[in-house]
Amino acid sequence: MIKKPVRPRPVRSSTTQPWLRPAVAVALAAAIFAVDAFTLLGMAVAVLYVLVVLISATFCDRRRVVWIAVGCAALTVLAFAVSHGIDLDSTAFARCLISLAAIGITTMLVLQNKGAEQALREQASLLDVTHDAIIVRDLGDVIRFWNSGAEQLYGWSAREAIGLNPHALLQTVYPLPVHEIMRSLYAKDKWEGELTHTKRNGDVVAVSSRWSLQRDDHGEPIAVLETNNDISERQRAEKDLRRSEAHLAEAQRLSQTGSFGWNPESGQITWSAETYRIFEYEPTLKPTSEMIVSRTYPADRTSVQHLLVNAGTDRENWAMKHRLLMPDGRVKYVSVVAHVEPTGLGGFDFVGAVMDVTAARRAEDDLRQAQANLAHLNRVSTLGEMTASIAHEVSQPIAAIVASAGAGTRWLAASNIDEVQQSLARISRDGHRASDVISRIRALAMKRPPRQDRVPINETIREILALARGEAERGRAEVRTELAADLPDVAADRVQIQQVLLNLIVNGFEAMSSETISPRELVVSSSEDASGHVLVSVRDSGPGLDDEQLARVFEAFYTTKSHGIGMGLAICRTIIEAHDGRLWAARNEPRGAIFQFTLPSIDANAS
Amino acid sequence: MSEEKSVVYVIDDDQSIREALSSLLATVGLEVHAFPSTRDFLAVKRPDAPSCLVLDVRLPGVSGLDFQSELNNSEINFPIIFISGHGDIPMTVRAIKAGAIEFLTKPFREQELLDAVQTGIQQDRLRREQVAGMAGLRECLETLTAREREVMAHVVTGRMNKQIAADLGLSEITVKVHRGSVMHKMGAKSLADLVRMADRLGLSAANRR
Repeated sequence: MIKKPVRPRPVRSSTTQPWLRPAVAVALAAAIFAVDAFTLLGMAVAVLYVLVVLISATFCDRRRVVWIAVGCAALTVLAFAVSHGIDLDSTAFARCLISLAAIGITTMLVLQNKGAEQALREQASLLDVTHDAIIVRDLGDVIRFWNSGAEQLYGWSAREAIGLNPHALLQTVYPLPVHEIMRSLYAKDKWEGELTHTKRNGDVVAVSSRWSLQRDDHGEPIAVLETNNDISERQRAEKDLRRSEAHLAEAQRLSQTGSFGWNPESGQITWSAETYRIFEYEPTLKPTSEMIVSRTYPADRTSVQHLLVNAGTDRENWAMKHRLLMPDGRVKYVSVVAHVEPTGLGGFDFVGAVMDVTAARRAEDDLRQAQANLAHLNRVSTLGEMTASIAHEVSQPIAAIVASAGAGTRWLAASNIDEVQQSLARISRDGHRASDVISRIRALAMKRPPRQDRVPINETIREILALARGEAERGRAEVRTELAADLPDVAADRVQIQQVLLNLIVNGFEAMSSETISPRELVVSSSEDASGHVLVSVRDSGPGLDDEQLARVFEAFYTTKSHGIGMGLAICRTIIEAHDGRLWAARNEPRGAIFQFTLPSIDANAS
Repeated sequence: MSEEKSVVYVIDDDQSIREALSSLLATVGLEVHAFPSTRDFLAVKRPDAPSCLVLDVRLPGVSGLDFQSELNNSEINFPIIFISGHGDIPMTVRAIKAGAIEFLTKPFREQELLDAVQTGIQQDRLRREQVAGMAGLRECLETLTAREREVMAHVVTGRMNKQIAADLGLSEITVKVHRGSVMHKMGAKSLADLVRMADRLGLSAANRR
């Protein structure tokens, strides 16, 4: 006998108490067994076990259902044995078999049903896993399904939402009239668009919405499955992106700097709006390397083409400056930089910037021109101040020529041919000397673009001292030179270096012009310093410079003289620095000032 | 004209000028010594001959004009001819006032220089002769005895023999003898001659009384 716990009251199936249904099932099974085993009703009572299987199916999983079914079958066989022994009475045995068959079939059906149900539940839980809000509404616009994504997005729970009208609940704003959306939905079974919903807390949210029409087996529409996801964040990001792009475009336009991308492998080039503007192409054109080359100034094309060909294999950051030639003949100067940007899979792009530096270049050219003009002005004005001395320099050989000519004439009359010849030789020599002075002055006074010469510094010093000799005599100054032998030449503009020397030497004489100064001595020396630079110094024995003067003497418009505009030394410094040299002032011992400059020698330049 | 050769000194820092002037001055038979600076000029021994100096105004160290004043304060007093690359009036005036013969601006005509040099040498010769005459007088004076000098001093003031004899406490005869001896020793041809000599020697007023 198998005793089953007996429940006092069999109750109707209810969901409120979990223990009720198992209790009902056990009671039912016990009742059936008692009737089957101990009454002699000539009917298949055991068929009723199917009720037990059905009830157990509501709270058991498939395995337990199978075990319960097996238990029921065992009870059926046991009851048969109790009431009929092992007598295989044909009718009773047939009833037993029918009962067993009924239990078996019912179990199978239950199990099948259970499998389908589980699959459905798994699917539904999948819908809960996704972050998208999924809503199913029937054709009467009643919400039938509301997943956890929808709960999170909108703030209403499934229990609250199901049964309500979704459009009213969410205050949907459609991009199109609703009937058009529905028409499209019926025609294509789906619709996609952006909607605006209002959440439970009143926030407005933009969603990307996909609708799909669900149909039954007969193809009749039954429901609409709506999948919404929040794109407010994306929209904001897009807006930010658009704004920063606008800022970038504005910055590019203001700075006249365009950007570009270039994939050397595919040859694909992208340009920003400003790059199009710099190259002066229509923004609708797709940029190509041919377009770049055809805008490049003819003389620069080779180097640009070389870069376009080789940059892809070199795979290095690069920068270059070149000119562009516009169809109307305008020339632009551009400065281009690019760096390597790996794209994954071993490929790379060049990402770079093109800057229109024409204006800066023009300003630079203008500045250079202005400096050259100023330097020329300074030379001419220095020469102007030296007019008397220069006239003396020219009149000296001419006086000698006149005297020699007189002497020659007289020697001729005396038939002293030897002396005549000597006189003529002197005339020729002094004539050349006068013409040398004049050509030196002309070179200094001439306006010409700076150039690189090979300048022997000692010879240049001697030339300028010859020119300034008149100044020395006028100022009653003695000039000494201490020139180092075997100095290397310097690479410089000869006239400009002469100008610097002339300025420094004339300044030295002027510093010693006061009556009280004695002795008046100017020493010009040259040497080679440790770093292979040529050092030239001009020392005077004048009153020298105090600290403030030392600090400011190279400033433009600073002057210690009663006349002059104070540009001479500023110009000298500009000239020397343009030659990669240095010009500075110091105190001379025991008194006076010393101005010295260095210039790189040709050898130092070459190495 | 003296038989001795005249000498011209040229001081100019410009070698071309020195050479040209040396050659030019040599054409008229002058002995030329050229120097680049006043220092060099002062350093050499100069021959005793009528000389003149051709001096550049602008010289290294010291100007020609300063050198002129320097020379004026020394025993070297050759006539000076200035040459200058550019003369201005104040410079010229200063030079001439200080005794320069000529101020020539380069380039000058050769005849101008030659004329100026001849003038200078002539002047120097006269000066030399004058100096030489003085020297002779002094030598003569040296030969006089103290008494003879006393007598001479009185004679040149125009006093009579008798008066002199009274002043000096001598006899008239003795004064007469001394007077004859003074005239002879001094080489004076007349009383007026002796008075002139005494004048040049600065005796006239000095020994009065």
